[in-house]
Amino acid sequence: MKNQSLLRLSLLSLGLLQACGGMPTSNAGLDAATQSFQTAQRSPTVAALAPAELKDAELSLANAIQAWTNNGPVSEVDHLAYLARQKTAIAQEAAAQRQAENAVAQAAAGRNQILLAARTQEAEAAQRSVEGAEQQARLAWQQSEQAKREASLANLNAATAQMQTDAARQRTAQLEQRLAALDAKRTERGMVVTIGDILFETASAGLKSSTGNSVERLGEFLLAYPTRTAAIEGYTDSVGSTQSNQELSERRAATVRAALLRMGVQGGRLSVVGYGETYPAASNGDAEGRMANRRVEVVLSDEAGMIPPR
Amino acid sequence: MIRTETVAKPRALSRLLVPGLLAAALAAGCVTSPPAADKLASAREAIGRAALAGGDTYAPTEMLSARSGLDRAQAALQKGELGIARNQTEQAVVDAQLAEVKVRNAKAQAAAAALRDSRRALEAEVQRNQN
Repeated sequence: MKNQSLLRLSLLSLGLLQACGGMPTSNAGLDAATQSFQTAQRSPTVAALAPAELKDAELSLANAIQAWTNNGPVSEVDHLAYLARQKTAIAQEAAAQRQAENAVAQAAAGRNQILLAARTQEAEAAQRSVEGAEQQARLAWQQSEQAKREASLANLNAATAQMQTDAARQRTAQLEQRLAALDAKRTERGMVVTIGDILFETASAGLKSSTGNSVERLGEFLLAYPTRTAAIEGYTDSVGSTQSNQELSERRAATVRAALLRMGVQGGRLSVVGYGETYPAASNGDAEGRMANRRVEVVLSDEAGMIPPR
Repeated sequence: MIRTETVAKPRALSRLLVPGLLAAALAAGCVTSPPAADKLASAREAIGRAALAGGDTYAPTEMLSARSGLDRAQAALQKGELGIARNQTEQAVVDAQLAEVKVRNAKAQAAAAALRDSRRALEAEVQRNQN
């Protein structure tokens, strides 16, 4: 502050002396020094970044002006003016240097900012890919869970199928068992149960009480397998008229049907045919063969209720 | 803990140093060693420092001026022209100082330019990586 006012005073006196056309003629070196100092002083960069150097230059310039106003020797004024000029240049250079250094520091900060931004973006990208991987993992897990569920369902289905197979097998076994109990014979037309002559009263359509057992088993079978139907076919030997044999065969078949109806088998499932003396099962030449021919055959249908015609 | 030592030491040293320097100054006064010679030495030192920094490359004019100023100062001193010697010495010192600060400025400018370039390159690279 003190030095500044000192300089102002000096500059003022310099101006006054010049204006008055005073004793010392103007000094070119001092003018140049003053001018360059004033330029530096006006520069905000120099004032802000090299205040100490600027102050130093100002002091030198004040000394030069002092020497000049005091009518000091020209060589001395020149010398002091030279010092002031060089010091002003030093202030200019120092200010420029610091400005560049600040720019370097800022550039470094800017560089760090760019790197930081780049790294942030990289991190975000990595985060995104992590999230993607997690989602894929979740999806894979869901798929595996789904597969597990499907597998267990398949197992269940297999077990069910196995059970169904087992049940079917069991049903078949039961059927076989029942058919065996019926004394059923496997023929081209299906399973055939023969109710023999000895089960009927001689030359009559009435069933002996002992036949109840055989007919009863047949009825139970039909009740147990409600999809099956039965064709009840009556046969006789060749003894007697064809007409009477035909009638007898029809009556005997009807007797069996009636017995089955009594047990609760629906009539629609039971057809009755009399074949008379046709289709003998054995020879009519002897008593044994004739007895075998006198019979009622019950043909059991398949599960669909079908019986191939004779 | 170090601080107490460093404070204590100069104090102890100065207790010895102050009377010593006083005696030396008195002795110097008796021998009348010219202060111009000391200034000459410090000017030489300033020139050496500027040269070491790279003044001959970055501020050859100022270096030349400083060295010739020093030469003139030495010549004047030998002729007993103490005023001229003093002025030339002072000029050599500011010339050397200007040379040194010019070197520093030039280097700072170069560093700033290099960093600007590398920043531009970095920006371009980051841009490329993002696309």
